[in-house]
Amino acid sequence: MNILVLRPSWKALDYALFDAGRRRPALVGKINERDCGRHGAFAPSDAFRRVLEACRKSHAPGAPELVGIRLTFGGEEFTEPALVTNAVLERLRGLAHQAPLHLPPALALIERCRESLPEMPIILVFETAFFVKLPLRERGYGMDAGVVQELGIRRYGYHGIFHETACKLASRLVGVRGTSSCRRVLSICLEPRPEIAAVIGRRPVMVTSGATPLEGLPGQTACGELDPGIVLHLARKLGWGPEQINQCLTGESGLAGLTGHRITLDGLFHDEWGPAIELARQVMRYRMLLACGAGVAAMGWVDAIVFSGRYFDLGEVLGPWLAGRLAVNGRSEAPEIPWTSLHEPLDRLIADQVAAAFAGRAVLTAVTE
Amino acid sequence: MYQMLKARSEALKDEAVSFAMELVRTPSVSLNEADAAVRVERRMKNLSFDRVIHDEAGNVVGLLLGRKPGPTVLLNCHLDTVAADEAQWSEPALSGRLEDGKLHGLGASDCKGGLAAQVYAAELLKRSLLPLDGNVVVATTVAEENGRSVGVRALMETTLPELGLKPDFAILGEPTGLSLYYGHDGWVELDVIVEGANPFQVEDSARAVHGFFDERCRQKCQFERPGVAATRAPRMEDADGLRRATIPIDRWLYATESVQEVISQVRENAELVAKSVGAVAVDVSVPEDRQRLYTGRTSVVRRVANAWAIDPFDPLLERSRQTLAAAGCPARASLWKLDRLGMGTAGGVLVKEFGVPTVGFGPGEETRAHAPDEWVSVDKIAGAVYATAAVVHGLVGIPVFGWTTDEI
Repeated sequence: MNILVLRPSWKALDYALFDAGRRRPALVGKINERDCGRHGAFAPSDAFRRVLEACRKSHAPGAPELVGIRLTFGGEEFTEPALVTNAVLERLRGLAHQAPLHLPPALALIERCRESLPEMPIILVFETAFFVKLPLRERGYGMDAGVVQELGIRRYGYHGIFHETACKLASRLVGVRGTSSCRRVLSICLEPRPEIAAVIGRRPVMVTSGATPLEGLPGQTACGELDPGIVLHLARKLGWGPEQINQCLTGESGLAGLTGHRITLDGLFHDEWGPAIELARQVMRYRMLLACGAGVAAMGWVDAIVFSGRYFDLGEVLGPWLAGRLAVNGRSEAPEIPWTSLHEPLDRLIADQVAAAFAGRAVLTAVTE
Repeated sequence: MYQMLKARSEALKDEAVSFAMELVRTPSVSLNEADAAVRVERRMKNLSFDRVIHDEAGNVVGLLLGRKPGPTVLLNCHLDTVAADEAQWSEPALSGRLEDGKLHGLGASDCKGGLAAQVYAAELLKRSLLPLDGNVVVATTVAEENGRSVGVRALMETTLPELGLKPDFAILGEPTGLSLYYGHDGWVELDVIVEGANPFQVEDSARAVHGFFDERCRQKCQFERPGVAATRAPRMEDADGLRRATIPIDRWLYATESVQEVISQVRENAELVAKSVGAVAVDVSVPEDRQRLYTGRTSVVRRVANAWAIDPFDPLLERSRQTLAAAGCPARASLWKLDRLGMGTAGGVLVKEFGVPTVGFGPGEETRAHAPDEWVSVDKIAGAVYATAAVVHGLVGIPVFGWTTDEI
């Protein structure tokens, strides 16, 4: 089955077309503002028309038969991939206020997709789905229970597709490097906003992200974990409003804040040098180490570390470093923790989830309706 | 989010400026705004507004509806201009010429540039797909310049209530040079009437009263300028066996004063002066005019433009300042100077009569309003589109707090 994978955002639409039986995409690309004629003119619905044109013009052997769309957020409602129906769309619209930058462009894309290809099944996969069933102790916050309930505040992870696949990969490590089982995995997703999850079997028990993607490890521009008192201090001492604080913490902090310029996670470990870079590198490694320690503590043990994400090859640098510093399970004589990397790109993982979901579509339809 | 808004606003710049140019080229002197109203209505209908209404007063209103009943922010600009004295202009007042980054023409600064910016600020929010909690009302209203905000009053009294909307905040697109203005002085025209059976005593008293207020024109009051702005010589007439003198006075109004207080004060002074000269009766009134709007509707208006100011610490001003700073366009807060009589804004109605916290934020410059060779900067129109959208999102948009700009 030929699967067209779409990853919408407010500034671009990434796409990949997979032929049945092949791991590599027959067609892959991105529609962004430049493709839409002029700066700022990007619209997801228009971008979709261009994707269809690209599919038609390509030498890919078959036209799409199934569309898979990756959504950053599905709230507590979506614990599995979902076939698009009117009811699903309605539920998604109800969630838009919880992910206001990400869901509206995705909704616009889905609507255009249904108009253009009315007979085509569309399956949605959600990054948060993997984390919906985090243990209560992990998903909650030490706040007034009434406020938490009223505002629906809870913790999620936002790279669930990578983590889920990484844990499946880890199971293949059984027997490798002396491991006898591989149930307790530290999954380190190396994306522009990195995320670490501790997973027992298929169930995550700890994740670094929070009620929004701002919490957790520092990102390329996001501050990561922060004392809430600092936020209040910014408001009080500098007279900043919520938008200014948000702009600072989400867009001008993290590696950008530490180094004073825009830098990728990859560049931090491979290309860049200088005192500020060195400090940022130390901060990032240290924060990762602490998060891994928390993950090990949450699981009580660790069988393997798996790196994934677009910068998975940083595992070559971070894997030995982390494995050497995590005093394994409190025993210095214990063997070093095995680590590996998930090399496959996000599009492939989405296509796999979509294919699996479509294979069991009778169940899928029942769930979504 | 601001990166996205900025990028999207760049894509709308040419459309917004072209719309401002179209409006400048369309005559819309007060009480004759029909053509401009039709153009605004047509444009709004071609854009993404959820509803467009053309009300009985001739106002054109575009709505963006949020997911909740409120809050509601009102973006308001007037459709009308003053009449141009072509002899004072170096080119036709309706040229709408675009040159060197400036749009020239009557109303460019006051406030067709602001009107286009407000319409496109709403469009920008819609095209950016940013969800709104509350509502955005873009109201382009009639009869502001010469009608003492008759259009805005009709909007607030009838049109919006019929739609079930009550603004919680208002932003006027009047000329502020992209600063935040939060009030201005006002003015009132008064007729001091001196009346009596003895014509000599009436004339002597009237001259004394006129002299008294004429002297007051040269004295600063506790505010920075004189309370009395101008007086004119008494007009004499006879009626019902009485001699009557009418002394017209133009009086500045300050934000702490009400019209009624000023009338009482002027009457008290006039009585003291007049009665020291002769046995006369003194009264003070505000002249009224009957205005006929282009839709045929008529209304009686007093010659008053209320002074108004919101608290410099009002949450609207504070939130506007904060969102503008976050959006990378910090704005200072100030007051309009309005150094010529006859000027004013709808804030007098919105704040004083309807209690709606109001600020001004527009691309034009106050000094170019009601002046020959008026123009507005094209970059400031584009800046106003972006910045107004940012402020509106801060007031009624769903916050994007925590949703990082890092790709996730």
